[in-house]
Amino acid sequence: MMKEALQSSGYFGLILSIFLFLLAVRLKAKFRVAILNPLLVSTIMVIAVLVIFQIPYEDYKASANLLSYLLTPATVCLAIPMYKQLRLLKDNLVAVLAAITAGTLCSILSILIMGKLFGLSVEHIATLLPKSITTAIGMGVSEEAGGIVTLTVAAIIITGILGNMIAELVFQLFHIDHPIARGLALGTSAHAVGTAKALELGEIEGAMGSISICVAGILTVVLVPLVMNIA
Amino acid sequence: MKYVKEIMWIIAFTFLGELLNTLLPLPVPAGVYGMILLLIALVTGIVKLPEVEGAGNFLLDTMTMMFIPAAVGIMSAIDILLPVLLPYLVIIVVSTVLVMIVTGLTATAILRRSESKEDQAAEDAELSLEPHETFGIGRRTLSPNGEIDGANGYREILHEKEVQRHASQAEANASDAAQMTSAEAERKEKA
Repeated sequence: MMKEALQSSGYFGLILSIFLFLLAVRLKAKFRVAILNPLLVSTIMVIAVLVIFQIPYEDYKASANLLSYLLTPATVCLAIPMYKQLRLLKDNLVAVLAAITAGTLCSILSILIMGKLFGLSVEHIATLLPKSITTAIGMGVSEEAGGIVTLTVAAIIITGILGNMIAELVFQLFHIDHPIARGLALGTSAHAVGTAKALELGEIEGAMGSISICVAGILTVVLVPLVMNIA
Repeated sequence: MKYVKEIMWIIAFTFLGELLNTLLPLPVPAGVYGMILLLIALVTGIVKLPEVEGAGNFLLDTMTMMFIPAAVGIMSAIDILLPVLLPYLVIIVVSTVLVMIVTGLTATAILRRSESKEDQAAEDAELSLEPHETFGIGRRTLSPNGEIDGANGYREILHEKEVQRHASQAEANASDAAQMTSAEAERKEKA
């Protein structure tokens, strides 16, 4: 009875997601450890609630869809930090393009080499290759290369959450202190989820993350078919 | 009605992006098309920054949360993910960390090289500093962190100077504003 009321509600998934996200943000603020990443923790808590109360994912998705729906306009709005930092982008264009290219090549080569080492099939390598680019581009790349699109989406999201989670630690360990370098590193390694983190760090970081989504996405689209010929 | 216009612009560019995404045969998502179009519109002045900034910053501020439904969606792929979970996780973790380091360090190296060209300018600027502002030491000075760092130390000092100037300016503005409101209050009282 209660369960049916929840499932028929248009806002149940929305309030569940927002409430648990806020709770996760509080937890992170209190304990200040990277593993308590708000996106990771709130995702796990939502899954736990769905499993415990046996609510099918489709029902949750239908009532939380507004959040996914807002992702496209939010991505459009990444033009705002880019516009504000346009001078900085132009002045450092060489560094920006070189860093994103190096990162994208590193992503493709490391997946190819480790995939071979683990003895993964060509299908699984194609699935993983677009893991560092934004979902909408990555799905197309995976399909074109003969990957399993559902798994690509999972890999992209795991990559995003991971990048969001470990960025500050990596920056500290490797003395990546410059806001430009931080934004590029987040956007190139962890696409839009990384860029959301970059925006939390600062506007310069956010602008650099945004351009990384575009450039790394385009480079991956071009490079993956070439690499798949060798693989 | 400020937000109505802002939302109108943002949704308009989202829609345009979607349109391009369906019409053009390129693998570019609607959001990225929209982002590029909005950037062009801002640069050319078709859209002014204050006309999108309020609603835009709201969307950017809440962006992290928008990934939750997609992330929860992994649970529906768990059956095909579990058999390959271990190699997938190892590859994703190692590759993501590597990409982050390589991108960050490449950018840092190039930025440092182009900044060393600016050092000459910073050294020149040093001449405009008062002696106490360079901690009383000559050309090779201690940076505020205590490490010996020529041009960078000076640059930091210059930056601090700039920040102080901005702060005092902001203070002046604030006291102006305070005076204004107290004057307004007086006027109201008289009325």
